[in-house]
Amino acid sequence: MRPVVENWNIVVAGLWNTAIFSPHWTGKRLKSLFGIEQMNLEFVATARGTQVKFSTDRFTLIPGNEGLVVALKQIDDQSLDWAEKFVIDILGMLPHTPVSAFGVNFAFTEADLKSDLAALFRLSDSEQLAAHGYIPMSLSIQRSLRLEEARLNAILTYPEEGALSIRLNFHHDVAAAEEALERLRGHAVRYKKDGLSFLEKVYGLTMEEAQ
Amino acid sequence: MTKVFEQSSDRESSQSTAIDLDDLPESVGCCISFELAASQPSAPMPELSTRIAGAGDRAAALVIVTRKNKITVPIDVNWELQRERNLRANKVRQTSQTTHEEGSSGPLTSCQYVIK
Repeated sequence: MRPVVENWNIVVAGLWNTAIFSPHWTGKRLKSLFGIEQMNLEFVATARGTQVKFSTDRFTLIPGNEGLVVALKQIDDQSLDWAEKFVIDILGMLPHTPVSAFGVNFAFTEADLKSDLAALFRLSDSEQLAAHGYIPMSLSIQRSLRLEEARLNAILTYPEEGALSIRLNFHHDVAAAEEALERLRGHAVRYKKDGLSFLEKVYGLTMEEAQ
Repeated sequence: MTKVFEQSSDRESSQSTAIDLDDLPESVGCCISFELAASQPSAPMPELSTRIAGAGDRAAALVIVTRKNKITVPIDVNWELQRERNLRANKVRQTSQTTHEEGSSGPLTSCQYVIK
């Protein structure tokens, strides 16, 4: 099982004032927290307009009106820890932002689908679908599991680009930024370990090094 | 519990009544009145905004009526009540999405920013 680094991130759902995230303000936070001297400003043209991203070696900040995303560029524990610290700092600096939930996300792909995992995707309606000429292109199984204060949404999709796709979302509903800050603190690395433990115990999957 | 407030207030009186949505009435009106300052020029033009709730289902969300030096703002909350009814009847639970996936993006321009 390989990690899909692009989809490892921390998301804080809320109504964010994106105007606050100027290069000056964001840069000051990064320098004060991690001593970072420079960052990349990325301008992406989308259908909704131009999206600005603030990128460091370890993560990218993507401020949006309805969600703040800190997406990892490396999957080591220090990068995950820094991403968490950055989100906590922003929540602390902007405590009046209406925040409704946050999630810590991990993604993986497994090319070699073993028989017990393949059996998961043989549902009872498969024959009926085939008999009536419906050709399944992809099947997603989503489970929501209680994990202490969090909800673990585990989404397994097969096939996705010929492989099994696994997405883990450690979700918390919260009433305010302060609650998000308290609940997130110290959890990002722990959720990575919990997620890997879940996949190994339940599906026998272990993580290879990222390529 | 979600509540809708029926409120009327001006210089002489102010009252507020909570209505449980468990016992939804057919119709609820909300009216707020207040006096304009004597020096204020004539009130703004009445304005009507509407929200479409569904096919053929239209409700006025806000209507402003002006009379001399008093402005009255009746707010029709029937649309909100109907929406709440529908959400409950259909057992719709609004949740916040906390996932994000990088997609193929459009043209990218980047530059280095030195933090001072």
